[in-house]
Amino acid sequence: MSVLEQKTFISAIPPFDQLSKAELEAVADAMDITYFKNGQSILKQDTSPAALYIIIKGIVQEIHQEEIISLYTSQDSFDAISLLEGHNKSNFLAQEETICYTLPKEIFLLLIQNNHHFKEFYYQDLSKRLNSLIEQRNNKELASFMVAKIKDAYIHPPLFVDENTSIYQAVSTMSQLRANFILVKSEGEIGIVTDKDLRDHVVLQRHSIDNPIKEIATYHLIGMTTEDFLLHALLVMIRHSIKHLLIYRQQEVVGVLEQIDLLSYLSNHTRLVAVQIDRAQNTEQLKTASHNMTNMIKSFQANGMKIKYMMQWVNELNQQIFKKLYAFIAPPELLANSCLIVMGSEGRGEQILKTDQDNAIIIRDEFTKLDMIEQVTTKLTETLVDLGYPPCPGKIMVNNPYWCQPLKKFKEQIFQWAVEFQEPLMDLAIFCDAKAVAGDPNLLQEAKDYLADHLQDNQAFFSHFAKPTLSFETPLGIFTTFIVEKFNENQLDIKKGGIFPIVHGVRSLALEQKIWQTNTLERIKALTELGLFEKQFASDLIESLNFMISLRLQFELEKVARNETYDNYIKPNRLNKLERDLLKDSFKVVNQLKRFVSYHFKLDRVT
Amino acid sequence: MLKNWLKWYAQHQLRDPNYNFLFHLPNPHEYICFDCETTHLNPKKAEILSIGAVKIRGNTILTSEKLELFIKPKESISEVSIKIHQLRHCDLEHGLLPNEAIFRFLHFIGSRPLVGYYLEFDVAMINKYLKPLLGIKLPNPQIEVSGLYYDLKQNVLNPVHVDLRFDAILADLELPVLGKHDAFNDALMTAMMFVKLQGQTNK
Repeated sequence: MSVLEQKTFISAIPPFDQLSKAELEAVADAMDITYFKNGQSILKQDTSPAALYIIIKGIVQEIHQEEIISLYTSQDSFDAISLLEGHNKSNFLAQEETICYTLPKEIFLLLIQNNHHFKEFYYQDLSKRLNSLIEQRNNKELASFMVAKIKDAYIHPPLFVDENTSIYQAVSTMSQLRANFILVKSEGEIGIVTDKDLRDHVVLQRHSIDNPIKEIATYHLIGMTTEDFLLHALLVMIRHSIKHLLIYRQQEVVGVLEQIDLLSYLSNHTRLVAVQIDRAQNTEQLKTASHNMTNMIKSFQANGMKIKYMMQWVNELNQQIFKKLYAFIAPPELLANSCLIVMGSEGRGEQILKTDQDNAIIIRDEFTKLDMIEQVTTKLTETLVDLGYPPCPGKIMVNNPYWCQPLKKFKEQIFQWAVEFQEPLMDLAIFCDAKAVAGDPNLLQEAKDYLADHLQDNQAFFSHFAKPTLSFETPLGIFTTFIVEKFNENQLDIKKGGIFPIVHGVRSLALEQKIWQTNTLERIKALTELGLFEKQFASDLIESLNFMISLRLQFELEKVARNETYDNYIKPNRLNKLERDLLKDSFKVVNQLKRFVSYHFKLDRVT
Repeated sequence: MLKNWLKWYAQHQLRDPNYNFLFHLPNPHEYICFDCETTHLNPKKAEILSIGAVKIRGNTILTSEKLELFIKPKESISEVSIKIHQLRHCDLEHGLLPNEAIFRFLHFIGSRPLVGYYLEFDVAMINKYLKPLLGIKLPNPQIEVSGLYYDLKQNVLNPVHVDLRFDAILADLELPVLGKHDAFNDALMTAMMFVKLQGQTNK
């Protein structure tokens, strides 16, 4: 009967709450209870511990080189790492009388092997703890998709025919084997022939069916390996609008992945939106797709998709929408001679639910038919609002002539920002995140090159640029309590408090180091490669940012469900203990970054 | 000397040599803590309904090696006692026969010293069944937890009243209370008292 008590006690403690009923039973059956006197040694350094200790009552010190490095109290467990490594680096001592459950090493290792939630939990630096939290909101279907590799999906066997086989012969082989495609090797290059090739070449162009098959094959195929993630494969297919991927294992072709097989892994919403955008013939159809994105995001969230992938995915779809829309609205002439760019969160690829549009158009200097432009930009902005992208209060939109200019005007503007420090420098910050989505991307590249050439090693400039990182207090009090807006339902603004300082701090450092990636995570990685950030700090920074973005999304979606407009406010008192702890940890990381940025750019000397 | 003789005498009474192990020397630092639920508070009238027991080795309570037995009573259980131990007739329908339970209990405890709270009663209950079976009473040394507690709390020079109620001891020793009173939970809580008291008296 008291096994029941043990089970209730244990099952409330992460990560034991992730165990299956049978596993929990096994754990409860295997546990003993041990008592330690005040000051008694529990585990000695350089021994090989035989059990995991889970504290029922009491306090335990972890001592390393005569220094207390950690305290454990009720419901904490120690020391998983020693068990995993089979070797104990610290002394564990009862600071007061302590009663522990002990779980034998063998059972613990078995759980680690068989339950990946359990395993995740114990690889326990900040980033892993965050991950395990996200995994908590797991749904089998999508979660399994997130980790599914190409080898898990159905891969069609590679069906090769000789390059000189006649089209007729090849097609009859295809139909005998009920294949949708056939592969040929010609001059060392692998080509594919699909039904579409037959239609385009043989039927529409009356290509003779006695000609060799190699003439109608498509070459330069994109390949991936069996170990790549399925999600990545899908992104590649969408980016290149292709339906087949050549799959390799080591250097050898093992088959072909078809989009339809890949999509069968995805829930309806997800698939729906991608297909809707892909097939949209007019703005009305794009609008349907765009509005479905909120539902798609909801299902991602409910299914526990990692925020990083969610951002990638939403970003990919948004870009497709912008690209299509610009092609619908702009006449071909303008399309060829201009570049539509998105900036801010969209440019960084960090937008999930639609936020204010930040966009601009760079026009080629030689392009003279400027009279058509106003009509296009007005239509574009209006349609985007109609599609659900709210207008930007700062008017950073194409219908503002300031943000729709010939390249040389942009260069002048950049010169004023970078050389003459013309305010607002936040406009430059937003421009730094610019990404080309339609038209000629070289125009943006040229503008950025110009910026790179005119950035000087001017300490004062970067100090001014970086200054807004410190604009808002981190909402964390002295006793690590949250500082909330008491007259505003005890909420706190997580964008001002946490997300913006990281985004802008990292952006400032990236600009100084001439790192041109727009995505914050990629900027952090690049800064780490330059040795500016320590590896551990970089990973804490990334996980903190991801966690705060996902927290914001959680509250945004709740507001959407209540038909309210969403904003950047969250309510800390609605979070569970683990989430609160993680948010506190994240704010500590924000403060660390602020100190770093402040020191790096000597912000204390700037007024 | 007398102790040894008594032991020899008791072993002499043992009817079944298979149970000689009860008289072997126990492993040092090993104890058994146990508790019985019965139909009545008078051992002469009472029947055992369940036995809960747990091994103790040094400072560790081996809950992974526990014994929990339910016994089918001969007579109907009174309503009053059902309310206390919450063992209904249907809970015990698939219980063991008393003799079988006693044999399993003996194998579990071996020759280890027995620990309990008002142990006298529980030992008397076991002996009531054991004596007719094997001709002996439990030969194991016995340790009374309330006695240990009393010794710790009592001050010879300045006598005080010591509250020896189970829950009072538990609370005073700051031990977790395991909700329901059943044989195994009680044995487990008693074991915690014992382990903690041992720790304190050794200090």
